[in-house]
Amino acid sequence: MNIYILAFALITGFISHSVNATLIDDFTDGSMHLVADTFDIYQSSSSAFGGGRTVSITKQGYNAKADIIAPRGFYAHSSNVRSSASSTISWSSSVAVDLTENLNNNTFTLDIYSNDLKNSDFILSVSDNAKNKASYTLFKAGEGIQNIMFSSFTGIDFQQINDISLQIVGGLEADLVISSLSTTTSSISAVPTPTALILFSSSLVILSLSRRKQ
Amino acid sequence: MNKYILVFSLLAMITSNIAHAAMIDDFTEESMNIRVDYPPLSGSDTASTITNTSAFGGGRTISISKSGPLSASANVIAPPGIYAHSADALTSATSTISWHSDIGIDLIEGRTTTNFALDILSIDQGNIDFILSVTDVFNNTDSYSLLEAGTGIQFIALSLFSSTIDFLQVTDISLRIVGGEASDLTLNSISTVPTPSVLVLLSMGLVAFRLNRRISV
Repeated sequence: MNIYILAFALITGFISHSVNATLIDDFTDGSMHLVADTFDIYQSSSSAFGGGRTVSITKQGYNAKADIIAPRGFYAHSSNVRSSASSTISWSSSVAVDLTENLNNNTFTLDIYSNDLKNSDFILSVSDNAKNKASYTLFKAGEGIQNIMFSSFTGIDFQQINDISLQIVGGLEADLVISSLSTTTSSISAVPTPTALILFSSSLVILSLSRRKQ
Repeated sequence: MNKYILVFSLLAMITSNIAHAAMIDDFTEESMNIRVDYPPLSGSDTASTITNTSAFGGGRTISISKSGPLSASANVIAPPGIYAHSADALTSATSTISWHSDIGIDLIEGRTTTNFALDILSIDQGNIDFILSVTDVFNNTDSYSLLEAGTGIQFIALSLFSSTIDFLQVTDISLRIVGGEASDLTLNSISTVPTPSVLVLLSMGLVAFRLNRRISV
């Protein structure tokens, strides 16, 4: 019996990170290459929300571009010297999608892989089936996982989402890379955090050892 | 008489930075644009081009190579007269500007010039090395590296190069820019100039001489 408890605890600890995550785009298919100023190039992508994405870029200064390097799985926003750019990735679905996955998810997760000057703002916008639209701005975000709670958007039905867009308002000479955008469950929800799960698993192991001694 | 000395000394100090300056290149002529893209359009991660200008030797060649998944570019933007080295995220690049003259050129202009002056307009991240190389008519060559340089005018004394270099007969100059990941920078010019400190000392000496004369009188 103790072996079963131990196995359950360890498996719970290992798989809990991926539970309930919904991928919007991980840029692993549908390579794109845009040089500013270019608009509305749709590229189908089996892994992206709605089956494809549209990217646009505008610049001030000399040159800028936006790339999706599918073999590497990232989106790159690049601006040359004395240049700044604003690029937008948008996803659209003809049928409304439940981003909460039966009320399990409550957070967007933006994975910023690299960001050289950290002088860019990220504006995430969503619109639902009733045409309600709201945005949230992540100012001067750095590298790493950036969480944006659904509650940061007002009046949106996250169980019926049709459109998502991410606008990157890049600072001067900003070069940055995004790995993915997804939804997940935040740490303040009913789902345990990884730390809590480790503690929980540890207590089960201790309980198991304690019962064995008795 | 003393007034003239004072005025002369002040003018000398103010104008001395440009007096005797020999411009190697100020990038005000002939725009150039090379880039190595993802995916590489030519199947190569290097590119180069050459053009004729009034720069040292009558022309310049620029080349660039990169490592990493994205693009890098080297541009001469004339006007306004800048050289730009740009690398995208996750990508680093090395670009080289080289100037060649078929005949030996006197860079020290009657031994008044003692420095190269590299005018760096901008560096976004600070992970850039500059390697300046010179070759004389006898094929003696030497290099000096300016590591992690900042913006502003960077002076590189001619004395930092091997004594075998004959700066009276220079045929080749090259500036290699070894940029770190996602580095972007611009250069304004490269030239040869007198040492600023020597000129300040000279000017101060003249002022002191003038004051001394006044006290004596």
